[in-house]
Amino acid sequence: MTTSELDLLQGTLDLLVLKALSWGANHGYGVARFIREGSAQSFRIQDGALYTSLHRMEERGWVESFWGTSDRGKRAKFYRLTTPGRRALRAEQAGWEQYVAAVAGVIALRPEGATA
Amino acid sequence: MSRLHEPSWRRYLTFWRPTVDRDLDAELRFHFDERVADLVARGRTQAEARVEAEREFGDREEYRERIREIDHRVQARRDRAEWLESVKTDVRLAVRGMRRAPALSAMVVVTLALGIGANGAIFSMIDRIYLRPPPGVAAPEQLRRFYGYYESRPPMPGFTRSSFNYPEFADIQASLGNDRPIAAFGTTALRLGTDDGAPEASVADVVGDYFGMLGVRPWRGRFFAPQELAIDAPTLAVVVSHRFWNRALGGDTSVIGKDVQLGRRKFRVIGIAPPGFDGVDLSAVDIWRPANSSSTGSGRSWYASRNTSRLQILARVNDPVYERVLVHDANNGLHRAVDDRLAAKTTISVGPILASRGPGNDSKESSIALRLSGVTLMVLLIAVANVANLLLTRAILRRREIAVRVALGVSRGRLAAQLITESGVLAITAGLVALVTATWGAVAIRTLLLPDIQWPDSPLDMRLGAFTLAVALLAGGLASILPFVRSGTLDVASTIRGGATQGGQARSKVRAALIVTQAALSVVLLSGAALFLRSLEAVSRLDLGYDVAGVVTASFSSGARVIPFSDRSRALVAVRERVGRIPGVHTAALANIGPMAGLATERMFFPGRDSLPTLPSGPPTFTSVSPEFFRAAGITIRAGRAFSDLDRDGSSRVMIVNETMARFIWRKPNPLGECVHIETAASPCTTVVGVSEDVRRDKVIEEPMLQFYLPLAQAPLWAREPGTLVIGAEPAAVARIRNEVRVIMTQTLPGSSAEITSLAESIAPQYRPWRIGARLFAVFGALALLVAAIGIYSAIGYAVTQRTHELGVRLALGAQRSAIGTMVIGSGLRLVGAGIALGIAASLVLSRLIESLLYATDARDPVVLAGVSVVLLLATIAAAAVPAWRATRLDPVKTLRAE
Repeated sequence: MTTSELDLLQGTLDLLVLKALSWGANHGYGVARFIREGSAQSFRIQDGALYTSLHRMEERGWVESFWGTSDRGKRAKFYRLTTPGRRALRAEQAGWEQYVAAVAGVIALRPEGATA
Repeated sequence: MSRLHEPSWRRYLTFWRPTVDRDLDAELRFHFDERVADLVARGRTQAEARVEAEREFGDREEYRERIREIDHRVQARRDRAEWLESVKTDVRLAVRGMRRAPALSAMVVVTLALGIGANGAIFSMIDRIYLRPPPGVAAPEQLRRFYGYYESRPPMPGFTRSSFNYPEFADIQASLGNDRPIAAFGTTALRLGTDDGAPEASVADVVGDYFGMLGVRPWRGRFFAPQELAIDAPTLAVVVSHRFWNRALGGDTSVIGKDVQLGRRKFRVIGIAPPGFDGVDLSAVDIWRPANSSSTGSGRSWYASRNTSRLQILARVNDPVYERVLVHDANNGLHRAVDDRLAAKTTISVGPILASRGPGNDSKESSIALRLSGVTLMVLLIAVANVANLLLTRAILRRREIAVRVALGVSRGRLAAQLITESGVLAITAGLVALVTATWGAVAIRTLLLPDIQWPDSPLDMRLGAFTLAVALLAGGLASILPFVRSGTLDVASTIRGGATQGGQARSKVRAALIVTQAALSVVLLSGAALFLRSLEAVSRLDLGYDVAGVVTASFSSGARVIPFSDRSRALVAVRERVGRIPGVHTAALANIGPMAGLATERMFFPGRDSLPTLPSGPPTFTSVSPEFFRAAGITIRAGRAFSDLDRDGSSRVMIVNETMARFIWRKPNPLGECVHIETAASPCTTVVGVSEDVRRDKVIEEPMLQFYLPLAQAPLWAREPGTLVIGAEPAAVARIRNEVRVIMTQTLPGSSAEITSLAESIAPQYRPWRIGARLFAVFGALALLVAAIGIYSAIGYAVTQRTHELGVRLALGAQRSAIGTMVIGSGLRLVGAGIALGIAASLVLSRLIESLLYATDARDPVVLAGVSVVLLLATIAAAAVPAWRATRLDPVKTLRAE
């Protein structure tokens, strides 16, 4: 079935959703698929968490929703980034990169006189 | 837990769930279906795919609730923004609509503003007098005033008083004990100096912990300490009001500790009351001082005397039981004074702190104020009817615009919303203008109705503002909705669409009804005005017995120095000599009291009778006069003679009685020679030597009184010294003579204060109620007439425009132009005629309400009603004249072509 699936931290889910939508408007399922494929199937997306994230970001004004037709011809709710959303994406991304660099820095740190 | 296999009947419930929930369900369903499709595409079977997808979906209920809340919040925000947008659009449209028809909008605003303003003005007065508790006082609903009902011996009616004397206060307080304190105050006016020109201040003398009871704390400085209020130790300290401090003391806080002059003495300012507190009466108090520092001028300790009752007593009660016990104990205390008949037969009750709501308070002024509120309501209704007509006219003129809007898909609800916004904008504009008219009106009413009160502040306050706005919205709303209410349903679009050329039966019925109502209300108001004017005229023509126009009275009072009464009397005698020689003065006489300025009684004994004959108006009262008095005052002697210099102390005693006394006591018009014993039954006879005409004793309108006269030289000792100079003069010279008399008086008795009035001036206040009623009703009647005339003009003008086509056809078919004009005017007259009939009926019914205020005028006087109807018909003809003239000028060719 699946290889070990990592649980996604809630905070980073928003970042991934924003990133997904930065490539263009999409519906919830499309965003889920984007994240799953991008992470090479590693991330297990709880649909509840996904939709909570989407609706919360809509309330915050980072995304706006509209009803449209999917590529299969079914009626679906689409989301697209707003200008404040784009700004939030940049901020979150920068924050993430800082976080990653900090963690990597500590792990790579070699104290004086110690062997690896 | 499988929730996806919903029983199919639940699917139908989606129609009843709110959109937000339905959208969320649809969104999640889509996601589920896509997942299943994907899994199937990867090789699962449908069933397997569904199971796996369900497992992945997780427990929906957990997060669905959270998301639903978020969505509801988002939706609410969106709805609010949308609503705000639509309101802004509507307001913008309304303002643009108003700008496009400036004349009509102005007329609507002005008409409404006048109607609303009139009501605001009356409300302000009624609010101040009856509703608003005195500002600055803590818990005013707990405060009570004391009233005493004195039961006289029948047939004399009892009366209620709100003033008590100090011994009564002390008795009541003693009965209540120290743990139930009462307080009292008495107001007077004092000059801030000794010369005549010094300004006067309103001073309240305070007994007991007045400020503490009212819950007022000093703003600066302090209030009186208990020892300063002790009744027998005069303390020359005052507390000033904030207003007075600003106005007369320069608003400088260093004034505390300095002295201020009241009359002849200096008082130290010890504190300033908080802003907004002006005492508990309508009239503002400037200065409070302990009652122990007041004096009667005669030097006796005023507080031991039961003759001066000027204290109003206050108490605080916090529940009805406490109140009952308080009143009961107060009565016990009062009745302890068994030797004072006034106190013994007085029953105490308590009333609210607003004096106007106490017992025995039905002054003519307040009843006029109450009836005026009915009048202003009528004016407002006329204004509303008028505006309704105007708005309906405008709506119909815009029918093309409305039709386009409806065609473009505006729902009936939106149309109604737009209408409501328009009326709201109009109403608020009218309300703002009405604030101005209401303030002016309130000031005018204060000056007319209650000019003696020193009003503390402007009538414009929060309460008036709130009232005006509320009335504005109500009136504006009514005026806008009225035209569109058709047999119970509100139908904007079809009413407007159905109007116009087809004749619009229902719509024109509404207009007709509005005109009829206006006419009816105008009739009622105008007849009210006419009735008051007639009353005023009747009252002015009353013969008071005196030669009112030519009588001037003068007396001395202490001025810069205390002058005993005897000295003042002697000075008056000296003044009489000189005054008699002023050109224009035909007689100068002396009396112990002036005409209509008071009364005096003495014990009398009639031979052959064992009790004093008394009329319902009271026992006989007398004035002691010098011989020239009757000529000076213009009192005719009907039989016998007037007094002469021969009637001296020592010669046989004489008296002159009035006609009523002659008729009532001796039952003949000519009781000359009859004998009366005055002061004691054993006194020598006082013989009746003359009969005088009846004159008014206290009021312009009163019951017949028993009055008689004694010569000053023979009067009882206490009534022998003259107190007033009565001058008979040519009416034209009165003003000049007053000044000359003043000069003579100040020369004769330096350091005194001279009080000179003409009789006409002193009784003028009694005519006031009728004068005011006439003036106010006339103003409102004229206003109503104007508004109604405008309404008729616009209604008929519009009707002519509507019937242009029809009139053109008539003209083409050979009708005379004059006939067209007559027809137009006739249509107006028919409507107004119906209104007049209705108005007359209403007047007859409502006449009962003003009967009590009229004098010698029948409230159902047919002449008045007929006169008013004629006035209204003439106004209608005038208003309809212009549209009728326009109708006669129609060119049939043009009108027929235009269709």
